[in-house]
Amino acid sequence: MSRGFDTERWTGLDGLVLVAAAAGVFTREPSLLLAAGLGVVVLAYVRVASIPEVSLRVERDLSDATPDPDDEVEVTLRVTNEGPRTLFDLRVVDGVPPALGVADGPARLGTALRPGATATATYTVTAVRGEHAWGETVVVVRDPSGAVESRETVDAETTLRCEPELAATADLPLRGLTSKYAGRVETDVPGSGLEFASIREYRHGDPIRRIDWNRRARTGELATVEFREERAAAVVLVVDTRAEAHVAPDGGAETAVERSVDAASVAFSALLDGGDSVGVAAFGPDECWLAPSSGVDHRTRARRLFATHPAFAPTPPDGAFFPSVALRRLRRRLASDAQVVFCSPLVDDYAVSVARRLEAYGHAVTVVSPDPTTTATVGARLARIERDLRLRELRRSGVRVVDWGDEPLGVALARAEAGWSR
Amino acid sequence: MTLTRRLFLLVGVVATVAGLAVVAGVSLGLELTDVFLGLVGALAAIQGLRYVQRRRDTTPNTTVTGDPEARISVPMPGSDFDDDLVSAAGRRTRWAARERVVDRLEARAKGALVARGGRAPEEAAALLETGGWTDDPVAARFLGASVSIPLRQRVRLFLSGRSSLADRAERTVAAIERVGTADDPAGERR
Repeated sequence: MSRGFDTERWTGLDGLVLVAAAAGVFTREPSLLLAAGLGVVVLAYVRVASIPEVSLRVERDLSDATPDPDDEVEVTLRVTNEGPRTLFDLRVVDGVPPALGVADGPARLGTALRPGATATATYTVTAVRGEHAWGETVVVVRDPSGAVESRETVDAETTLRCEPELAATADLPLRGLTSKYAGRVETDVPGSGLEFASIREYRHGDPIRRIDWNRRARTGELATVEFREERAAAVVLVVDTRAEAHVAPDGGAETAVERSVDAASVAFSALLDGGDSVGVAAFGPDECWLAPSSGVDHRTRARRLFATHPAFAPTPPDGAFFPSVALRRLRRRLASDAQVVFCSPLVDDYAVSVARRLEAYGHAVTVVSPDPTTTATVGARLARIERDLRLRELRRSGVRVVDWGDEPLGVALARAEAGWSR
Repeated sequence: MTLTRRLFLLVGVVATVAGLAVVAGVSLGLELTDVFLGLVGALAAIQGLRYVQRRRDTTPNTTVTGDPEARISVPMPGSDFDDDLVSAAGRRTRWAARERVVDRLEARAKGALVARGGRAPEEAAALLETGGWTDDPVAARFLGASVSIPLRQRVRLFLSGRSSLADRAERTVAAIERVGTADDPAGERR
């Protein structure tokens, strides 16, 4: 037996009892005294009320532990009373991960539970990218009179892992994002370079000096030697994950950081497919750095990183952040000729200064900016004006900007690229 | 246990024992006179009312659970400005918030005149000074220009009840939105 804590629900009943008794004495009315006697009995019951030791087993099942984004996942919560006594008033509230929204049914349960009995609650969550761990399940037990209550937490570890495929969904015009100048980074794309890559059939227009004359002498066929193409530098995708970037047009909408990470993951795939060597970094309290590289392993690493790294979580970070220190560290890591794709909603001036400083240090910066502003309130309209002014400032200082509204990223990129080529 | 409580406990125990004794037939020389009953009744009533009063001062103590079903909510861009507008109407925070609101709008108006209207910074400052940057006298006045509002418009504003700080800030934001667009009175003359 545990006492729990007093809910103060019956406080004042003693006063009523005394008032009734006094009225009975004054009026010489026995029925009032009898009512006071009844009150005394209730008071005595409340006085001895207690709740049994709570011993619950909580199990949670997911219909799919590794869903795709936007899939509906059914969660089944099973609560079993393992104690020896009946729980008359049991309320269970599940610890749904903060980034997941419940699409159907409440994630809670209110019931009475006999020893050994099991109660079940079912609800549906909508999966979003990331690794989501369920928190503690809160259990509230009360005695039948409601005078005593106890709050406990039960832990049932469950993790939902949603790792989107890193396939470039559309034919993204991302090639325009990186320069096509030859450089010192070797790619897996066959073309002109120094290191031998492959031999293919001669096509009209191939340079004469790349024709394999030995093969021509041996077999009589024309073949062209291909080398590993060397292209300019590496591209580093920097995602703005500061607390300031965690904004959304309204409560349930995708946050700007989620959209930034989406943009970065699409860009990652497209750039990697294009033969560039791509790295990933987070500009925020949680440090994250994946050095530029290429290949299948690198793609797998990045996919995991985008999905599960705490820096890219949809929940705002709570650690202290020193932006100038972080920017210095990022600069040290960037190769001098690395290009930067900075994904930020640009809702504050510091994001602008990050882009401008990186540009000033000689990195070709492209800002991909998901637009989180609305026109719902005066403040929101002002924020939209401010963001527009920031975009203009960046464009004026030579930074390429992709303003990504509600349209698909590909459309925004195509529009932005048309503007650049003018 | 304090001395008074101990004393009260003693009185209670003595009274209970005496009561039991009376029930058992021992005469203690106490009669159920009207005065005695009245005394007991008054004591009970006073104490009862005290307890009832205590109830009014206590808040029920119960577990409150949050809303785990809702997704984490992050702020909307510009919500800080809306908060400032709210606290500018408050009694204690009025002046600081008011200043923040005006300063921010002034800076944005200047920025918009430079970036969208194609003005030089000094030119933009001068325009703000004279109020020539907008055709809305309320917005111009809000950012410090000494433009007079026609009497008729002033009466209309007063009657519509839309003359609060929030309303004027909204008109100023709307005026900044118009900078550099087709219906900009101080539009590009280049």
